[in-house]
Amino acid sequence: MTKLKTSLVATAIVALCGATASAQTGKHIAFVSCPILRNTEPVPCWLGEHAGELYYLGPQGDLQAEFYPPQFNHKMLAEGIATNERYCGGIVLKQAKASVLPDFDATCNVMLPAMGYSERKDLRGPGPSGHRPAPGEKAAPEPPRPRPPQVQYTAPFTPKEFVATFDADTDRMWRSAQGAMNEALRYARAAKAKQITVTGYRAAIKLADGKDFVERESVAMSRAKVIEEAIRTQGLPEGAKLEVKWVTRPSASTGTERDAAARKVVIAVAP
Amino acid sequence: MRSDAHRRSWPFAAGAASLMALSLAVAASAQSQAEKGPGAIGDVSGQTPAQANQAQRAPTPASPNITPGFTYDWWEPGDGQTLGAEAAYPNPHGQVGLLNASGPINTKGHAFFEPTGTNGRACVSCHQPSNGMSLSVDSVRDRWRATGGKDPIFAAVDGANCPNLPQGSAASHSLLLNHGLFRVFVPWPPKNADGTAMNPEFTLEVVSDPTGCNLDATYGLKSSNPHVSVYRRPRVVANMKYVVNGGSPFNIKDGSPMDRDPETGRFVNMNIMADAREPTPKTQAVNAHLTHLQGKAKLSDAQLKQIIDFENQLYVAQSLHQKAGNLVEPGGPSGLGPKAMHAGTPGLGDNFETPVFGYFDQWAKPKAGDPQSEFRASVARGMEVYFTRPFYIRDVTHLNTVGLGNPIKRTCATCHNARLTGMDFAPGWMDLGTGNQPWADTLEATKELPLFKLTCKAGKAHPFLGRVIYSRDPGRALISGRCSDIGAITMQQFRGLAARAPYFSNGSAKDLKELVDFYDKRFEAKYTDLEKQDLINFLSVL
Ligand code: HEC
Ligand code: HEC
Repeated sequence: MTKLKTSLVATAIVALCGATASAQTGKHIAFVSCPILRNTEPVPCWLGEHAGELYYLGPQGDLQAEFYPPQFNHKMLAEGIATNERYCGGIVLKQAKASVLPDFDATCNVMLPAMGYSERKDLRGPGPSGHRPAPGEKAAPEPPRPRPPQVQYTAPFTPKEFVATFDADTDRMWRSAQGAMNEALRYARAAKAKQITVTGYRAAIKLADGKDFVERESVAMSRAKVIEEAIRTQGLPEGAKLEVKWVTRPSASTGTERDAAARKVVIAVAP
Repeated sequence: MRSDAHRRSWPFAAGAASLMALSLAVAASAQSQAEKGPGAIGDVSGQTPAQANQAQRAPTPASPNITPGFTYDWWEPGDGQTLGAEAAYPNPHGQVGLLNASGPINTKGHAFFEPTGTNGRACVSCHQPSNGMSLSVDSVRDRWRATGGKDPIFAAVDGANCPNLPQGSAASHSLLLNHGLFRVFVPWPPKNADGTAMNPEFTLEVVSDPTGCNLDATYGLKSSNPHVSVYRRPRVVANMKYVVNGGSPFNIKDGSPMDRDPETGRFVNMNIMADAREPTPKTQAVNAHLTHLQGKAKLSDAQLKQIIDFENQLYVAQSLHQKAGNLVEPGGPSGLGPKAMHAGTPGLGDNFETPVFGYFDQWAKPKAGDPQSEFRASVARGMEVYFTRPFYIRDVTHLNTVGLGNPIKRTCATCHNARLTGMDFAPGWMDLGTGNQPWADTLEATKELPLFKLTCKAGKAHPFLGRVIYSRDPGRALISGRCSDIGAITMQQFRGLAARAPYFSNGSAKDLKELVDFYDKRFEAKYTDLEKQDLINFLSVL
């Protein structure tokens, strides 16, 4: 009897929280949960659950997409800005990020039925899907987006910093981090840099439940080393010295986008 | 057969000097590149000297009812014939076609066709024109019967389950005779490009060793030159412009640095060999001659050039099908036959504009009662199943870990996405489950293979199997030392499949039906019987 009552109370609280969440439109939110997949057509959509509310993170996409989906068998750290829109059965998180947490967790395995929801049809996925376009019809997935033109670096050259950001608790270099590293190297070559300083950091992230998610200590170092290896792979610009260091103390959590930005490696280029 | 006596003797008077020369060459160019991690220096990969050393220890060559299902044409090493500009060879489904784009090949004195090593084998021994430049298990069985087990393909070094076994007996060659598997021995721990030992992320234990080779005092993990033995199929040596093309500094799959062509310094695409251990066909040829052929010294530059030139102009694909008829008749599908391979352009085919194998519209509408047109329509449907029929791809490292999510709802062509070969346009090693437990166990044939227990060190893990992994072939991880690579096998091209069963790197799918059934189980694709048959028919015309 008491048990039943508590769970009723819990449901009531959940309902309230749902209300607060939509009331807190524009607020940054971060939480750790299993990812949830909804089996929509033509591609599935990804959700996360926090305090009894579902949040929409984004669709399955390709590697040019802004959003990289999470992984079953792993919890995720979901982050984004709550909106008052709903999609695919969840509150839409703007600028959503899902960091795949390293530990294996077999309980993260939930696939929901489509329940009448569907995903956008114009998304370009990895590989074809859906139907082949009829003669004259445009192919459903949009063609790959052209690359933006490269910035030309010209004199005068001043010291400049390039920032590679990372997902939580990992040194995995995704596309944006690679981009930052490539730009740093292009700048260093153009500026005939004498010194490149690579500094790795780790972050604490303020979660919606008030706790801090603190990245593991080794990750500041391993991020710096991954960037170092990447620079050496491409070839250190002639005449440049490479210094690699890291800051083991985590950044102070803020409960804003700044928490994600603090998971970084700064590449400082000195002409 | 040459005399066994001199070949059995320890050959290192000359060999040691030339291997030393190898390591000197390595040291000389080492400072030009900061090479920690796998790869090659000069034209020699990090593992080659150790492998050559083991190859030199193995004796060189000396029945139950082993009946080939089909008798293929056989090309003897050193027979000196001319390989025509265009050639076709029968296989159980029809004919495989070859095109030498540079004209007929005079094989007399040619380094791909002559036994340049000490065991009577040539490259052509295991890369047979009639077998789509690979080697079918039927050909292996046929050779066993024809030569009483004395054909050089059965050489103890890798044509036996282990070189220490009595070589006359079929049981000693059971993996080759049953599944077309050669022993691939790689040094453990893995070697960096400069030949120094790597510190892998996991430890390796032998759980079961049916061939005895991993625990053997001379060839095994505890020997003075420790090696792991896994068992793999030869791969197609043709259509190389698709297989080897371009390269970028980083592996799009995991952000790790890519290998370079040690001679040009350019990044390579890392898509040859089950474990991508050889960065270029040239380092591969250096290695193949020292291991498979038990060569005593490195091939000369002229010989290497001859091999690479030959490989680069050779195109192979099925050209005739018993049920589909002529695959290359004018007005037919654009992606079939060796000439289409020659004419085509490498690139991504995972889109409706340039589909992997082109469209098969010409064949789409069957004429009722005409078996050929009905079969062709099945092929056309099979292409659509391959290309557009979605299922959930799950728990595959280097596919579900690359930023696309786990699982992803996609098709065969998501992984097999490269134009005209069906390889992966990016580095193609993935843990599909053919080598690792639990999925490998659904393939009955893998039970004859060794089983390893790999334990990842603190903080390291296989993304979907955790820290302790049981594997029949750890694949790329034996080269990279990374937990995330355990069980990852590079996919190979789909051309000439009809001429070279069985399939998968470990030969675990005896025919295309077993292969399709594996996928159906692995990804719960729930294919209908018609979809399965259409897929099989489609694969059989490539
Ligand atoms: C005893 C059989 C055998 C002989 C002889 C042999 N190979 Fe191979 N070859 C193999 C096997 C097995 C593999 C696959 C190894 C693996 O995946 O680890 C292979 C793979 C290859 C590949 C990679 C193809 C791809 O797309 O991945 C090339 C190229 C190749 N061999 C060329 C040669 C050359 C050149 C020679 C002669 C110097 C040669 N082989 C001799 C068995 C042989
Ligand atoms: C998750 C990626 C992935 C998907 C999806 C996938 N494959 Fe594969 N495929 C691989 C890998 C990796 C290999 C190499 C495995 C090995 O050799 O052990 C392979 C090997 C093959 C081969 C073997 C070629 C040979 O020469 O032995 C064939 C044929 C094949 N796949 C067909 C298919 C078909 C048909 C489908 C769809 C039902 C499919 N694949 C879906 C990754 C994939």
